[in-house]
Amino acid sequence: MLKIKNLSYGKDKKILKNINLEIPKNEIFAIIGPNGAGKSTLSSIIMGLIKDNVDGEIIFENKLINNLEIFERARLGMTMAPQSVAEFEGITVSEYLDLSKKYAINNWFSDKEEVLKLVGLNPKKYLNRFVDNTLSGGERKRIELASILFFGPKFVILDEIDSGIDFTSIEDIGKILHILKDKDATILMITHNEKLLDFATKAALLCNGEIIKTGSPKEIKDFFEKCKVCELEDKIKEVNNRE
Amino acid sequence: MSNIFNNLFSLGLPKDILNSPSLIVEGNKVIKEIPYPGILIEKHEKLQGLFINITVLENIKPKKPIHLCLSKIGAGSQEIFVDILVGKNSKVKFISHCAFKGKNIKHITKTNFKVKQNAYLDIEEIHYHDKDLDILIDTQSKGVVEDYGTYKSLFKIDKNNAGKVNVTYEVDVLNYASIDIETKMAGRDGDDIFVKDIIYLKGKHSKAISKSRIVALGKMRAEFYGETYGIGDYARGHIDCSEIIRCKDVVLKATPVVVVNNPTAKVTHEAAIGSLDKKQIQTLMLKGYDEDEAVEIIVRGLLK
Ligand SMILES: Nc1ncnc2c1ncn2[C@@H]1O[C@H](COP(=O)(O)OP(=O)(O)OP(=O)(O)O)[C@@H](O)[C@H]1O
Ligand SMILES: [Mg+2]
Repeated sequence: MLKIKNLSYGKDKKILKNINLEIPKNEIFAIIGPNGAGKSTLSSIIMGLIKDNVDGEIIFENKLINNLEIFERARLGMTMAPQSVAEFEGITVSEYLDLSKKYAINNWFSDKEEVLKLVGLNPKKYLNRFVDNTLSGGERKRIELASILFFGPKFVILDEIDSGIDFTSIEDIGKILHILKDKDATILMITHNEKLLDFATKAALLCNGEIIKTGSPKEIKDFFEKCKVCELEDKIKEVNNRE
Repeated sequence: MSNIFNNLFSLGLPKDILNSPSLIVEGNKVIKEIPYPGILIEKHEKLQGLFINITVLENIKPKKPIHLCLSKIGAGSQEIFVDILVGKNSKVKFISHCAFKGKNIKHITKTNFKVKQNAYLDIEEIHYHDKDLDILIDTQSKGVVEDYGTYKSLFKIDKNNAGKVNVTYEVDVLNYASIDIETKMAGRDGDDIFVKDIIYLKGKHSKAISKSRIVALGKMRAEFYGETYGIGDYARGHIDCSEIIRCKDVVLKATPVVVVNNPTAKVTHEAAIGSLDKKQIQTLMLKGYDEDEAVEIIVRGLLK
């Protein structure tokens, strides 16, 4: 479904280095990595939010999409829930959901109340609220997920979907991932929460702009644990060297 | 006559003004009036313009808004002087659909209002401008909101050229009264917009919000100037102005001025001038909208 070949990004300092990835159809592919690893940068490049200083190839359904605009990629069936979602003055949740319909790829859902319930929000309370700064971060994030269900993408990047959503609601996220998978979507899930790896079918570890390892979610989870320890050891060495 | 109405409707005026309580004015002439019991309207056509006296008796609460449409089709001046008195415990909303078409038009309105105790006045002025409109708009509203009264106003121009626009509000807010003034405008090439809100929070626990949104879609000039005085005990005010630039060669200015001489009063402000948030545009593009469509959606929201 999505292939990334020899992708590098950055002018002087390389933020991403020679990334190669292949995400088959209907996979829940997780990329895990520490803060600043380059996860969001990679998502932005895949969706076309970043186009300058990008080398390599991004191929979606056998089509090279490097030169396509964000909306052209969306119209091919790709979309993303960004790590931090924008707020909109004067647009209600109900209107916001409608906005997903104009260029929707699949009509999985047509009932706004139903999708809001799926993302754990009470429709009566939320449909007429504004998608502005009066919503909490977690509420806004859930609404974005609802809007993605309304859009019905073939491929979706979820960048830190759990950020701002309470720990107890990890199951809610699992539920949404299942819906997406049931509907035949392919998912790229970006996270630094190991718990989410349990929902993945495949995973990769991104560190310092490089894919260090690709494998089963379990392998990556174990490796990530070790990696964190290495990082700590590196830091200790660094401090010792300085002294 | 039907010709004028056809013109108005083609500019976007809602047809239901014909069967709701209303006063419809073309130029300086009243062309239609549907009265509402308890609301007295006197009109005098004089040399200087049209004088309208509106008295809402006490305890009058129409469920639906009263339409007050001012329009001018073709060159010339429209000068309207309005006096509004809203009696105790009444609650009324006026919607002014203002439609304009042609060149060399002047639309001048001076409104004086008084909201009596525990009364409520809501005035919404929505402009319908034709494509090649060339207009000068000068609208001044001055008034007092007495104890426990409420005044709300919305002034909106968002279609086609705004013109040379000067909108001024000056309001005294008495004990426990509250006001909410909003101006929402989109300007295009050659437009010049000036909005001024002056608010005196004189009464104790008086409240005011002054909000303006101006979007510059072309080469134009716009300025918002807002002054709120926190005078009464526990007065609360807030000025919220933001202006958005969509192209080069635009001059935008926003000045919120806060004057407080009472230690228990508090007036805050936020002002922002900038381009549209890239994140907002990208979020909509991720749903398939191209940039122009995304901007239109965002601006429509801002001006709603
Ligand atoms: N516009 C920019 N200019 C300079 N450096 C940038 C820019 N954008 C990102 N970076 C840097 O690139 C690196 C990767 O950032 P990115 O946001 O992709 O990390 P991340 O893996 O998503 O981290 P997090 O887990 O905190 O979300 C970071 O070191 C960041 O500081
Ligand atoms: Mg990130």
